[in-house]
Amino acid sequence: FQMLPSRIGWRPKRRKELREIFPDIENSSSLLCDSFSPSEDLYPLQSIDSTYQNTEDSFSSISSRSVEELLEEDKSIIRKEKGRKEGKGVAFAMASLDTLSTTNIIDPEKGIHQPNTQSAEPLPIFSQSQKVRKWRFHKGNNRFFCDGRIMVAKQNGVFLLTLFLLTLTLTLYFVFDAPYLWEHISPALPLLEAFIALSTIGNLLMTTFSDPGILPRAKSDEIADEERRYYEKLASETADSETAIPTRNTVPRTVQITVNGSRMRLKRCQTCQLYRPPRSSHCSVCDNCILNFDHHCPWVGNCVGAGNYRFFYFFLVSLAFLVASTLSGSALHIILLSQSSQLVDAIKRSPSSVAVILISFITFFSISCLSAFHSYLVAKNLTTNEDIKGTYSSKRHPSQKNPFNEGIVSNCISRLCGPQIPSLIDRRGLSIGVDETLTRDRSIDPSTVSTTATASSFSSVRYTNNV
Amino acid sequence: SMADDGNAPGGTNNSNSNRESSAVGSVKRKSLFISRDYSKGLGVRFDRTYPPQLYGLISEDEWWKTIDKINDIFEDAEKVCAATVAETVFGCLTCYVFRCFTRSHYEKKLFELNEFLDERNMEVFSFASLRVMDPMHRGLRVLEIMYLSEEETPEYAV
Repeated sequence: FQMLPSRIGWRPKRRKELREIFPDIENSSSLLCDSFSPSEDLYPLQSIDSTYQNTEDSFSSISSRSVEELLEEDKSIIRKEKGRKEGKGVAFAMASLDTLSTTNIIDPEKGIHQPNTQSAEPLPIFSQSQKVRKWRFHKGNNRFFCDGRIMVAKQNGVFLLTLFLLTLTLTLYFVFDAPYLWEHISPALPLLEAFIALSTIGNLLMTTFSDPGILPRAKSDEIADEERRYYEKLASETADSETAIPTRNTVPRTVQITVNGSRMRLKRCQTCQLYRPPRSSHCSVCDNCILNFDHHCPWVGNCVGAGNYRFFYFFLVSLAFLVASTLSGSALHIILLSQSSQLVDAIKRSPSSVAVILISFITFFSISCLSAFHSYLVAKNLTTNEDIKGTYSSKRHPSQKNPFNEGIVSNCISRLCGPQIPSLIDRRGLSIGVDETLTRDRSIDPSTVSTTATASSFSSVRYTNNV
Repeated sequence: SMADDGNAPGGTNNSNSNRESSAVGSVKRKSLFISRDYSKGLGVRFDRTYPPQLYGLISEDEWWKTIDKINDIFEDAEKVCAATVAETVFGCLTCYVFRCFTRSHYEKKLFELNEFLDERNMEVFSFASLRVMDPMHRGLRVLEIMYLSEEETPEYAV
């Protein structure tokens, strides 16, 4: 009521009032609204609204109070709302009117009581100590460490091999070759090598441990909404003809859209129950849909997608330079040693250099080819997936042009220096344990914790203590 | 452990009938979902058309003001600008230690979005017993507008 004077010409209809007059309002949607033409008064029901007339009386009661009093009341209400939002723990947060949970309400004054809703079965209440992070309910084949901060794919053997090779080569280099080069040539060489090595390892760890752009799976109310919309669409299309309407719980397999002028089909992912955005794909190893899916790299132990492509690319490039500089450094060491004595003696004096040269030589060609290939992909704004399938190849699909290609320079900049999208799966958010979200992780800015839950169905994922 | 009525939302596709029955069992919390609009590329953008279900609840102008501002915020967040290039360069140079101490450009924009949504909810949507939810809750797939029940409508919206 305090806000009413500013909205005197128009008052939005309460859903309940509309429902009383039009009982089917939720289902009929477009069919009902077509009966009111837009040129008429947009809210024709106001004239028959009984509550609108009641406000005439309340106006007199409001006008007797001063504006300051009204503002004070306003502020105190908002303060109370905010106080509830930053409530202490899960149980009290559920008592706030802003939370849309259907569980039992634990009110600090009244104790536990059931909300006045149509719910048949109350959801279990979790006390403060039983709050769980959402990563425990992740449905893909990922493993989580550090309470959800670090995530990796299921099979890590090859990644450990990569790490082992890297550390072995670098240790041998820095212990045996670096001191010689420092003294006899210049300290710049080992320092440069150290810098590149740090960059390589940093990028490798970021690629492995960060979220490649996993799309969270659709919840049941979204799926039900899609099914309903498709059913209504079909029902309205076949209203005239005699054909039977298909069963309710279906959605079309593909959906046609236009991206930047070119037409594309979005496929439905049966596992994740969503329409995959363009360029996304489902990784069978990790059992997730990944945005801008590039490939699943076993050497890195993770998928490469929208979230970590730049780390992967920088890792490849710096690894190529690292291998080159290690190879040249060790070779230089052996050559300089063999200048004073024979080659065999040089090898005897520094056997580790031979090992380093061997490892570097073997990996040099494959790594440099791969980084050149990815540089080409970045310049043309393609993913490895698209390149392999030949989606935009001029030979296989000459008519299909890449709608994301904007020229070499802007492709490079947008793929490598674009914004870092945060993880969509929100691993560290808190859950009440029913696979429904309660809070979004706002550890950086706790004042914006939102305490809403979309509890529309039970989940078959059980919460146990041994995860 | 909790009640397991054999329902598997989003996980499998063989219990189609169970989904309907579970919606009956629990509270019918209805939401309106606005889908993504890919016509201008892969950036986050929601369909701008005025949903017919909001007819009589929210005026078209208010709707367009809300949705256009949401789309603008996301467009800003996904633009390549000096901030994002600096983030990448400094991240690379400092071995990504830099990231532990700063919030990324995208995250700042998401906070701005949340403030905007809170403001719009308080000023416009709560009076119609609606609430625009943060799209991050749904992984930026859809924009959810929730229908609030009697108990959930905030006090100031009467």
